[in-house]
Amino acid sequence: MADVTYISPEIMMEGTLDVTSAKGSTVVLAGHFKGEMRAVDVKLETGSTFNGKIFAHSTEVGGKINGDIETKSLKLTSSARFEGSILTDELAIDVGAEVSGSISKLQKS
Amino acid sequence: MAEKMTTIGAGAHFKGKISNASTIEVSGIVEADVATEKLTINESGKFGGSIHSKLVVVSGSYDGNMVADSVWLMPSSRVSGEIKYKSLQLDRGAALNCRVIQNWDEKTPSNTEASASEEAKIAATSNKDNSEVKA
Repeated sequence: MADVTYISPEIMMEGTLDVTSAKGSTVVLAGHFKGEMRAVDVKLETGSTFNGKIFAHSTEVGGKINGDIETKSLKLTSSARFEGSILTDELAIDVGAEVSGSISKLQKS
Repeated sequence: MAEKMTTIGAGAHFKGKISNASTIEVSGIVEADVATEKLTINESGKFGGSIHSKLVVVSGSYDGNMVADSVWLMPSSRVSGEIKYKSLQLDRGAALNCRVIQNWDEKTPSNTEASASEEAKIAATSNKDNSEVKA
């Protein structure tokens, strides 16, 4: 529990969040975030807003995003509103999600 | 996990601005200026920056300017910077290396501040060793 980073619904965070250390790696965003986020697992809940860049291993989006996502696997749920560019290997989009922008395959590195 | 509580996990490092918060718990590293109702810095937590809060509980380390109604410094806490408080609890073992200002009524700071403010450099070796082992 202590190693999960949770951002509650009313909160606004602006800056860089790095959650790639071995101690903890999961971010759940229910509030608002502007900037850059690095983590292993990212979940943007319904009602959340995100502006900026996400670098993650797996990402699940139910909120509103404006920006870029670079992730191995990505799931956009029915409440997702996405605008920007997606770089991913595995992509799932639920019926109802609104997506506009570019989608391309993650480059091997 | 409490529904409305924002948690910065043990492996997280956040740098930036936090606003519109009510309860924050820090187990990771945070460099930010925060205005909130309640802020907890856990034993593994490190916080740098200014805090305006009703209640602050410190078990980890803090560096910055803190303005709070109630401040509770736990045995494992290490604090530097400045604390402005109304009520303060300082547990045995807390490593305090900062300026503390008691300020009941902010309207008349000139009188109260002069008499109540004090420079505290409490780092009694036994206490400091104690907290260093834990850190």
